[in-house]
Amino acid sequence: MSAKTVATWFGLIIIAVIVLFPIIWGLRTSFGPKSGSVELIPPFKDNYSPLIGRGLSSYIKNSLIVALVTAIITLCIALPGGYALGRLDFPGKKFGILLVVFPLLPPTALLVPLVTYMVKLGLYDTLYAVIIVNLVFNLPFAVWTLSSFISSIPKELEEAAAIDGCTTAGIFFKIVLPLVSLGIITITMFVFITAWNNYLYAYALTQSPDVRVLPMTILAFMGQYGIDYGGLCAAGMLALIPPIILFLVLQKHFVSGMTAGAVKG
Amino acid sequence: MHKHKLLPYLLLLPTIAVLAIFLIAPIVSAFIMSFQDIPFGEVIGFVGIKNYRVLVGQERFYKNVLYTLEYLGGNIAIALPLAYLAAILVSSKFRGTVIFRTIYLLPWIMAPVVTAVMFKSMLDPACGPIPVLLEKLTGNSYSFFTNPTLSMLTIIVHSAWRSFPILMLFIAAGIATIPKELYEAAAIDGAGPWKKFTNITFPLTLPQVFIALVLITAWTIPDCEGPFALTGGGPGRSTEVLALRLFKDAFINYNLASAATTGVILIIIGIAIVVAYLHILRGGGK
Amino acid sequence: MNGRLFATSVVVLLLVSTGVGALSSTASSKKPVTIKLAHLYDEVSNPITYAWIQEMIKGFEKEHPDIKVKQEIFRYDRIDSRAMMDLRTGTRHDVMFSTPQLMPKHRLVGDYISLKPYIDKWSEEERADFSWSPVWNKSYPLGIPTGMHTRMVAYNRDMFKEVGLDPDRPPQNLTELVDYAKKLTRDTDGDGKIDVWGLGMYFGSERATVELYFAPLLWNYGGQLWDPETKKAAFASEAGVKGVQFLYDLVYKYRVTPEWAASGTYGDLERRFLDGKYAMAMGWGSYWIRDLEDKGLISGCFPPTAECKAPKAGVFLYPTKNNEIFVNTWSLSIHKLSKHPDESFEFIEYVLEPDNLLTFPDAGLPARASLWKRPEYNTDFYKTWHEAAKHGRPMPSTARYPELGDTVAAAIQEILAQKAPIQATLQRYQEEYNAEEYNAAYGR
Repeated sequence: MSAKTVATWFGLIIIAVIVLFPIIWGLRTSFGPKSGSVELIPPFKDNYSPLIGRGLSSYIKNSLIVALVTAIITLCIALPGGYALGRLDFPGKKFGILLVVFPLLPPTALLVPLVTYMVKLGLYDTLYAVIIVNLVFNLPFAVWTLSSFISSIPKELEEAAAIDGCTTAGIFFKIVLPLVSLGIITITMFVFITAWNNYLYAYALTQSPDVRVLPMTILAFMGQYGIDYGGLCAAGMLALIPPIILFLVLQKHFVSGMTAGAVKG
Repeated sequence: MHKHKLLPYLLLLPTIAVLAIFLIAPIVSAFIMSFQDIPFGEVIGFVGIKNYRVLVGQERFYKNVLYTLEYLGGNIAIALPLAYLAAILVSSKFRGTVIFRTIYLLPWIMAPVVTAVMFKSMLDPACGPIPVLLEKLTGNSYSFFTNPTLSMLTIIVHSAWRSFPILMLFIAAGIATIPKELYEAAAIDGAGPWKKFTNITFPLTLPQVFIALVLITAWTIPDCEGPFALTGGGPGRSTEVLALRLFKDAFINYNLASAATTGVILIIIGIAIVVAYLHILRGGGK
Repeated sequence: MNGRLFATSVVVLLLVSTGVGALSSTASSKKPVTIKLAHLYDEVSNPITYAWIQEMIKGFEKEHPDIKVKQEIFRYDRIDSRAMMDLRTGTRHDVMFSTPQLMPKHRLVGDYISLKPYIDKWSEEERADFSWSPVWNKSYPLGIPTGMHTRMVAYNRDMFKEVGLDPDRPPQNLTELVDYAKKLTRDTDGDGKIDVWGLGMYFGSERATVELYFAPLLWNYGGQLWDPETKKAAFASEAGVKGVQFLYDLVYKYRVTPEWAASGTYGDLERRFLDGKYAMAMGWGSYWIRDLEDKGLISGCFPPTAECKAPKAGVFLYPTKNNEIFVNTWSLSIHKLSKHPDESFEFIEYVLEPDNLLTFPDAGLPARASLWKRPEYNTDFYKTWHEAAKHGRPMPSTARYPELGDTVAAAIQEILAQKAPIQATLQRYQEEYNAEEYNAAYGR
């Protein structure tokens, strides 16, 4: 093995240790007694089966709906917008940089007006409201990032296709899209996870148990009289499963996207 | 060439519509609230810039801003290099890198509350593994949450640990678009790994670095969940970042005018920082 | 596909879903009267109390077939501000759990209706049944208490015996408290580090620090947190300095309390007492009686029976001059925007029936004086709790109580964690609190 390979493996493992240490500790805590961690190997206490028995599945379902729908709609709106901003020339394009400002808005400050608004629209206490607000807060960043990815594609490819007689839409779908697939997947993952873990909007916009999402339950383990470490970590571990499944599915495209990008000149 | 004049506007229409309908109105509303007197949830009058004057006149406010900047700076200082390193490592052509990439994503996939509680448990002064290990190694006992510096370090490390995976993803996506030939040419010219990095990798991934910086700023400045779950602003007020103060005002003290004012100030700080990035990166990159 | 068509269809999709959403939420409120119950008990993390709520709802709906109860779940630390916020956003609630310390604020915001008209219809003895506790005065007439939480000092009887202290004679004043604590602080495994601390305390970033640890000492020295005459905070007085000095000495002079008491969460105190790290634990709440039972330190006391015995752990009153300790509870209120206050009050009355109230898992101790007469609450163990409840004292009656709690807790933390000068630090925080000049009305 070359020195470079050894060094690379060494680096990979060190970072893996940094990443995994707290998580393994969390896993261990989730197996421990309810009232917090003491010994290195705790007496096993089942924090998991009570969770699975009670309404957790409906919370997971709600979270999945919110996260998936938000990701899909965000993508549908951000792609055309990102293309316009990244590739086309038009007066007012300069204002696109304003999109960068939106992610900086602290949602906490905007919550009261936003909730009032949703109440007036009749969307309060529905998953629609949660989806819309997640969409709204993720959209600017998605558009701007996509435009950045798209604008970094060499113009020559598109010009060549245009000379060959391709329509604008054809260029978009046949040339641009495959090259930014990596960026698209990254954005999808990003929006999904942000919506999946988001607590604030769900808390402010819903109150009924049937539209409750997973982060609200996880936070509920920080109770009035103390934190239920074991239960919280167990719920947190269970909350990992759907996103990981999603990633494993998307990973295949990720790999092909990366190698494709590296080969093209 | 056939180009619809209106096409760009149509493509952007959904985006603009969504933002205009759902975001502009609340922003304006919050902005107006910061100039009002709202003692008990009911507006009783305009007070001009009095809320701003009161807030800025407090010593506590300056500390809040300072801690916010420390929080952001520390986060960037740790997460960005780590993400870069991880991105480079993960972009190498070995088979095993897929597993590592998935593992590296875990801190970011987990809910902020869960990771904060895990860190809290890990650093528990009585029986957490880190203090115990540190004591065995150095003989001194470190109490993480009663020491202001260590508390700030804890929230910074927690945030950096959480943020680096997504930064890594963006940077890796950028690295993937660098043509292999450039590296091969550099190798022929006798360039070592460091030269390759500074001459090829870094300059060509500047757009991604910019995205990463904006992203980290957009996360860290309004972030109140992490500090709240880890330290609650303590000890004393030494980890009370401005976003945490905003959270307390809005949800615990129910002081809407103060919350709106703090929110506006937060936005201004965020914009100022991003403008700074633009100047540094655009000016230096080209 | 055409870009224009694509964009248009997305916009249409959005509009349609908005319309559908609007439709679906207006279709719910028709026929039998539906009232909403806003409570704090998440099904997954708090199954026992959640189950009780379901039972209450079922029992009530059976007795009142024309009223349906729909649940809403909020966090315990946000339910009050949520009630206030929803007054502004126009979201209506009916029955809600509420916090007595925040009642002054609720009074000024006006998000709860006055229950006086309903309570006036009660019999004299019914009213007397509730009004014996300090909590009632704080909530009345916006909320009715469902139980009572108070705090005492828990102690490990076995450890007392081990160091030669009489477990039936706990400390009666502050000097004895320190003496006992000194004897109880030990290094049990010979490694030079203290393994058992004599007196567990909590000085973290929560209101509990003020309510349970600072206020009793402040009261002991004759001070008060807030002056109702000048309407300003008064905790930086000489009494306040003495109070904080006592806490400071526990950690740094007598060394009976660990330094890390100034961090973590309130629940850590309970954990460490049960794990044997603390010989005594101040601020032990009535909500932790169940955990003493689960750990086998007491028996037959939870659920309370007439055979309640406390062989391994005991509780004693705060050994301050007047044994005053903070007392509170969850009370039930009706939201201002409720369209069915009468039915809402019927639900509240159902929950308040003695037999129902007795089973409320988060009640702690009984709210009704009549319940205290039952044999299961007249064992020695519970008689001590009753004594503590009688010495209960509420928090100051200011609408800015959350800020007050936050400010004082931060001050104490800074002093204890960073060894800051006591007088100067308290003074600084008090000035910060008193200087808030958002408007004159706010000082109420």
